[in-house]
Formats: sequence, C-alpha cells, structure tokens
Amino acid sequence: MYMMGLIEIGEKFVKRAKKFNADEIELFVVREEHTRVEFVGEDILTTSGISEHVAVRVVVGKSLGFSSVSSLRENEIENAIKIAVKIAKEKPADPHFKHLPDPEKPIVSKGPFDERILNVSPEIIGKYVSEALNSAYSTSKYLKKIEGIVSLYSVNKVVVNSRGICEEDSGTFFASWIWAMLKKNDEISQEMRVLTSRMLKLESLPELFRTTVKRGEEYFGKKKLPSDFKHGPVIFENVVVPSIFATTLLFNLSARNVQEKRSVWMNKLGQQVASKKFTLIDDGTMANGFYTFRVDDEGVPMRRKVVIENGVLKTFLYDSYAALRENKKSTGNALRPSPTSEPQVTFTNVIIEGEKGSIDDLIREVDKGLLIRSYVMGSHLVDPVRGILSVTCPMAFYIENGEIQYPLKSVIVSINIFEALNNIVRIGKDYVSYVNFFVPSMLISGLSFT
Amino acid sequence: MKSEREFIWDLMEYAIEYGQKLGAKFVEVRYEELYRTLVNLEKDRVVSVRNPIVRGLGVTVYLDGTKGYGYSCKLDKTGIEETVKHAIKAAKISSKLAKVKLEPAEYKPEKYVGFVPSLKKDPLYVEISEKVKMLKDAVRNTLKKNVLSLRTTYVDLRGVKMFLASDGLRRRWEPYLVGVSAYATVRKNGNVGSNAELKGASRGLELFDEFPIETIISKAISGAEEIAIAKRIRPGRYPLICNPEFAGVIAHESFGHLTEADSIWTKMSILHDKLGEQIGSEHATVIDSGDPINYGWYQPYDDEGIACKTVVILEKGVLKHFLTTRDTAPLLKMDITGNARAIDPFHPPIPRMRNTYFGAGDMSKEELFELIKGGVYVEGSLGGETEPTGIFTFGANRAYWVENGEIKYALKAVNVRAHILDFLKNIIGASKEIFVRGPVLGGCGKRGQAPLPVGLGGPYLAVREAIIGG
Repeated sequence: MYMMGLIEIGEKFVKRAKKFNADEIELFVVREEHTRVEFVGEDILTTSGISEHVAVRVVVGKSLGFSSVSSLRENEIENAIKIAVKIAKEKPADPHFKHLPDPEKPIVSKGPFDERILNVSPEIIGKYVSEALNSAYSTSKYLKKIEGIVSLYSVNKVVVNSRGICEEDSGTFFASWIWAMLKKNDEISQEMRVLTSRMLKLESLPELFRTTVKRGEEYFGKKKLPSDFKHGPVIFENVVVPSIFATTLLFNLSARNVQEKRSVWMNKLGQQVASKKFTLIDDGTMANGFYTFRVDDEGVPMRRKVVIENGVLKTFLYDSYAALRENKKSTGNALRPSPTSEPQVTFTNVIIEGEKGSIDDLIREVDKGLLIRSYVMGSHLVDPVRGILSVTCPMAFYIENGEIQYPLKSVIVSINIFEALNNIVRIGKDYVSYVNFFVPSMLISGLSFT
Repeated sequence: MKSEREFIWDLMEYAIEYGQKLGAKFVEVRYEELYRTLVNLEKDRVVSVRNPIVRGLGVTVYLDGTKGYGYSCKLDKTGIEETVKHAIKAAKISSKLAKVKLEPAEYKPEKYVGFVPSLKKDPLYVEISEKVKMLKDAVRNTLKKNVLSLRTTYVDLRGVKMFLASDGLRRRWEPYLVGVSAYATVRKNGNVGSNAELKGASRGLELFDEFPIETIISKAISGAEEIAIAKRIRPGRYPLICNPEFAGVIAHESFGHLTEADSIWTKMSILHDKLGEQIGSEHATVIDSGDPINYGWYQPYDDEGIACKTVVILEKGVLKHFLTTRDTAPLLKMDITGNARAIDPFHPPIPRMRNTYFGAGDMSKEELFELIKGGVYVEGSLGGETEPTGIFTFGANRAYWVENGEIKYALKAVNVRAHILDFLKNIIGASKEIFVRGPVLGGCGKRGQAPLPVGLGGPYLAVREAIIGG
C-alpha cells in the first residue's frame, strides 16, 4: 500500500464510489513533512516527522458528507468513506447543492518548490538558528525573554473526484516567528516579527532576530497620548494591514455569504465600496506566492482576480458550491485550513496595490497622528458585518509635524473597516510578504483612539 | 496470527531497538488512536457532523543531553525507521542550540490510584445517527418561541494510548469523554440576551442520564433570558463570589500555566523564584491531578507513561510544587508529577495540566455567600486572557448582584480583572464541596498545541475584591 503514490490511492477509491452507495466522491490525500524548532528562552524543542491524511467528501442525493483519517491504510480509508456516507445520510438535503467540481486545465504548472527545504542538514539548520539566537542576545543588553519558531515544511497534495478531477501538486514553505521582550529599569517593551517564504531563508534568520530586538529597544520611553488627542490619522505599517482588514474583507467577499445574504456588499457589485486608491487582487498564480498552487483544495485551477479595482467591487470569491449555485465558474478559492478540514472560501495570495513612498514618506505626510507597528491585539474580535473593530496596540508611536515623537503606552484604536476603506489618504509602496499577503503600509484618516 | 495490538507493540519495540542502534541513550515510543465525533445543530437543523480519526506514532530520543521528537502515521517497519531518523535529526538540531542538558529522570513505575469514571454506554459503539437524534430530540423538547438562535454541539472522544520506553516502562490506557454545549440567543421584553451552558466529563453517554441534554439547553435559554433583562453594573472594585467553574478557569489559565515546569526553569513565569513563599491567603489551595474527582478529565498516565500524581501546587497560600515531566523534574530538583502531555501523536509531550482546581474550604455555600454584603457572583466563563505579568481578564457567562448573602438580580456582560497574586491573597473563603468539569469543545492551548482536554473547577470562592468591568 505504501508503495503506491498518493494519486493512485485517490483514484483507487474514487473508482469504487458506487460500491459505497455514494453518487459522487472526492478524496483529498496529503503527505506533509515538517521540521520545527521551537525555543522558549533556553528551552529548545525540535520535532520532525511525516503525517499523512485523507479527507473524504461524498455526495448522496443532495447531501454532502465529510470525514477524515490520518492514515493511508486501505481499510482506514474505506472506513472513513463509509463514515462520510453515513454522515451524508444524516444531513438534510441541500437544495442549492449541484455537484462536485468538474476538471479544468490549470494555469500554473506547479507550485513553488525548493528542494533545499527537504534536504538541508540538521547541522545547517542548527547553525543558522544558533547564529540567529546569538545575534538576538548580543543586540541588546535589555533583552529578557525570547520565544519563537523556525519551521521547514513541505506538502504533497492530491485531489481526485469521480467527475474526473485528478490533480497533484507539491510545495515547500519556510516560516519563522520571533517575539522578544526587553526590560529597561522597570519599563517593559516587546516586539514581534514574522518571516514567511516558499524558499529556504535560513540565512535571513540572524538579520530577522537582530532587527526584532533592535526595534524592541525603540519602544522604551513610552508616554501617554496627549489627552486632548482622540481622533486623527493613523498609519498601519504593512505587517499590521492583514490583521486589520483581512477578516472583514474575506467575510464580505465570500460568495457563500453573499448568497446567504450575510455580506454587506451583496448588492454592491460594480459599485464603489472603497476609496479610489484601493485595489485588491486575489492571485493564486502569483510567482512565489505563499498560497500558490496548480489547483485549490477541491481541484479547481488557481486564478488571478482583480477583486476591488480603484475602489469598485469587481467580483466575489467562489468555491465550486457557490459558483455552481449561480451557474458560474469557481474562482479557485476553496482551501482547507488543515488537511483534515472541509474546503472553505478563503483568500489565496492577496495583493493590495501600492501608490508610492516608504513608511517614512507616509510619516512625513502626518501633521499629528499615530503609527501602529508590528502587531495588534483583539483583531480576531471584529464583527465583520458591522466592520467594527477595536484593537490594542502595544507597539505604537505618536507622530507630530511629520516626525515620530515618542512611543506610546498601549493605545486602543477603534476602526470601522468600511469607513476606513473610504478614508485612505495614502498607500505606500513598501510591500511586505506576510504569509499569503503582499501588502504595503496604509495611512487612514479619521480614526478614534484612547 | 498476531492481533493488531500485538503488531503495534512489536513495532514499538522495534522503534526502541532501532533508536538505540542509531545511538540514542534513551527512547520513548507513543502510539495513539483518537476517534472524535462532533455534531453541530442550529436549532434542530444539522449544520455539520464530523468524525475525524487520528492514528500515529511518536518517538522521543535523548542524544548527547538533548532530545528530539519524530512522528509518523506509517505503521510498518520502514515507517518506524523513518520516524526514528526524524527524531534523531530533531535531536541533532537541538544539540546545536541547547545550553541546558536534558536527561530523563529515573522512574520506578507506580500505578494510578485515582477515581476511574464509568463508561457504561460507550460512545464508540453508538451509531452517529443515534447521537444526532439524541441532540435533535433534546433541542425539539426545549426550544421556545423567543429563541432567536440556538447552537448546540455534541462531542465525544475515544481512543487508545500505548507507551513504551527503553527502560521497560510500558502503559496502555483508553481516554474517554462526552459533552454537550448550548449557546442560546433569546428575546425577552424586547431585549436580546445570549448565554452558554455546557457539560463535559470523562464518562459514557450515561452522563446524560444524570445531566439530561434538555436541562443543559434549558439552562442556556433561561440564562439568556436573564441576561436580556439584566442590569448593568458600574465598573469598579467589588467583592466577588466565583462558582466552581469560574474558579477553575482562573486556577487553570491564570495560575496553573505559571507553575508548568518549562515556564519555571526558563524563568518565563513570575513564580519561578517563589517556591516556599506565601503568595496567597490561607484559603487559597490549588491542585492539579489526573484524577477527574467527579466530572473532570480522566488521565491515569501522562504521555511519558508516568502515573499521574495529585499535586498540591499551592497549599493554604504557600507555593509547594511545580508541574513536572521526566526531563524537567531533574532541572527543578523535584519529583516527576506526570504532567507531560501532547494533543496527538504528531506533537511532542510538554508540561501541561490535567484537572486543575481550587481546594475545598470548610464553609457551606450559604455561609460563604453570607461573607458578601454587597458584591458580584459570577458563573462560568467563555474565556479571556492572562498577560505575562500575571494580570488576567475573564468574561463571566452569567453574573448576579449579591446583597447580604442573597442573589438579587442578573447583571449584563461582566468581566473580572485582577493580578493573580492579588486574587490569591484576597480569597477569604471556600465552600466544602468541589465540582470539577471536563471540556466540551475547547480545552487548553499552549505552544501551538490545542485543544488539549483538561478538567477545571473548585469550590465556591469568596474574594475580598476584584475589578469588575461592564
């Protein structure tokens, strides 16, 4: 059994759909190899291994059943399919469900892949992480705590369904996350940075760790906001942009939410929903994109879509379920949050088009305002229908006369996402790759803070 | 012919042999099979049914004073060899970074001596359709006209855990859990209120004979009705009474994590240098145990095969012990407490809690309430956060104004905020009876491993003051 390729495993069971009393069947077969170094102070924990998963969707009449198993053994897969059939029979018929997706020719031939992520020796990984940690500790005498992860990951995935989809792709990923806490006298300062790439970037770690600590030092000497200053422009540094906007944008751009009448933009196609400065592209074919693959997780080709162009809403994001419901083509936005989950409408690679300038240029444009850096807390608590969000920003600066004046004691910024999208003063051109986002910094006016 | 289980034991023995052949000084092998059922309803409509199965094997190797963890789902000889090689690779990476030597402590096998809860109606042998029907029927029997939304979830977990180490330590045990949660939004007198109620325990489905699902849902609905017409409280400092569940959330989230061995030896915890000190009042006792007490999580052995001990972390306010694992115990010069746990075979065991609860006091519930002339009583919690400094904020599921020991009226959306050390010092009484509950959907999250099933609870606790936010 283990000698079989993932695609053969998928095909073997899909051919037997009828035997399981399923009208249609889809197998998502995944093999992941992961090496992960985690450090919490001096506690080093390294894990490495391979896991294999099969996620099954079956159609019985108008009902979809789902099940998963972390094994490629034949009897286990068979059992998972039987469970999925039972589940399909338990669920009420869905009148809007048409069928699983049909095959189409992919646009991208293959997702980005770096052999070195599979082959790099433990000695080399150890050497770079060790160098990075040493560079962090030697950067500042105030460094008290450091935590982080360095992760090397590769995936082979296969989607086979009984309507003829039979797709295979693989990809590699490199990610590192670091958090540093510094203490000077009694003042605590912290900083967090993330590095994500489809290619091996071990040699970038020392620089990442060093800058994290260096930037941590910049938050010493925190003061309160001027007491009469409660309203004004805010610069969100590039890495903060996804956590502010992504949830609300995705919720309202998902065709499923449009069809269920949950999206506030359900009647806004072709209309202005944001400032003319705002263009958002979802591109599953982007070169070296973190989420670039041949096909999405239900076998539909990844595509490039201009979703919002100069503020005008151009398209919603579809999986095959939502697309077939409108007799349209899926936009290839069905991804699975984990190999054992059902596909969901998700962003692939998101690009927010930049205008011009660096973060310093944005700062120079601000007479009196805030700069929000690195990360914010509470963004997951956004109400995506009302677009209302209130975030605590432990890493922020006060700006006056186009210059940073001083770091701020934890400040809370209240944002109405829909208003903010219309109040964009300037978008920089200082793009950062942050997981599946490729975004610049943004200057937004008219926000409230305390 | 060999049974499936014998086949697995053989593979595990081979892993140890192969690990030693590749130079490992000490090898641990863990096999896990986990079966979960999750049913979600919106009112009586089935939204989702899931039945994920996890099967896999993990290997820890100790090599030159460092350790590495490898895992795989491949249950054959080549799979084992690959897994061991992965573990060795991990140990080699760690050896380039580690400054502190890790060695597993000597361990003389002991037996788990705690309470073993019943498993009469084993969910493993009950059809999914029956579980769906059970939940649907309960919803239909309790649904009222004023309910705007009612989300219910049924969960069960079954499995097998097998463990073998190169010193001969060998364990096999089966985890089990069932639970139901209900989240209701209702309209009452033109106002809207929401509330959650849950019941989860290491038990068979007989749990629901004792605590009918109808009662859990009804309580969610009646609580939501109370909240709809509840009054707001002016934020400020007030005396506080916590029900066992709310007390348990604080015991686990705000205190327990600070006593896990990894956060102690790395000095990340604010308690790392406080052993033996009086950090709470004489009424503050906190225990962590594999014993589910009554309705908690049954954990006889940890994921290093150690019999789970009952640890009195805090005894009458004095910090007595930390939660250790086989390789952290020597670093802290403490006993091994059996706190090494992982969410599945694809993750390494790390210091984690089991059932964490405040210890019993000597008062009746009524006497305890009489300590409060005017204050707030909180029940349950959907969560909150604890800052590394020790300051925590937790939202209460339900809250009430108490006057002269009596509950007067319901309060809207109450948050409790305090520094954990102030909270412990301010405990002025605890009731005699302890109630510990298991998880339903959630559990504990730490270092990328979530949700880990844990129990939490305690007695009713009276606290001199805490910051109450609206």
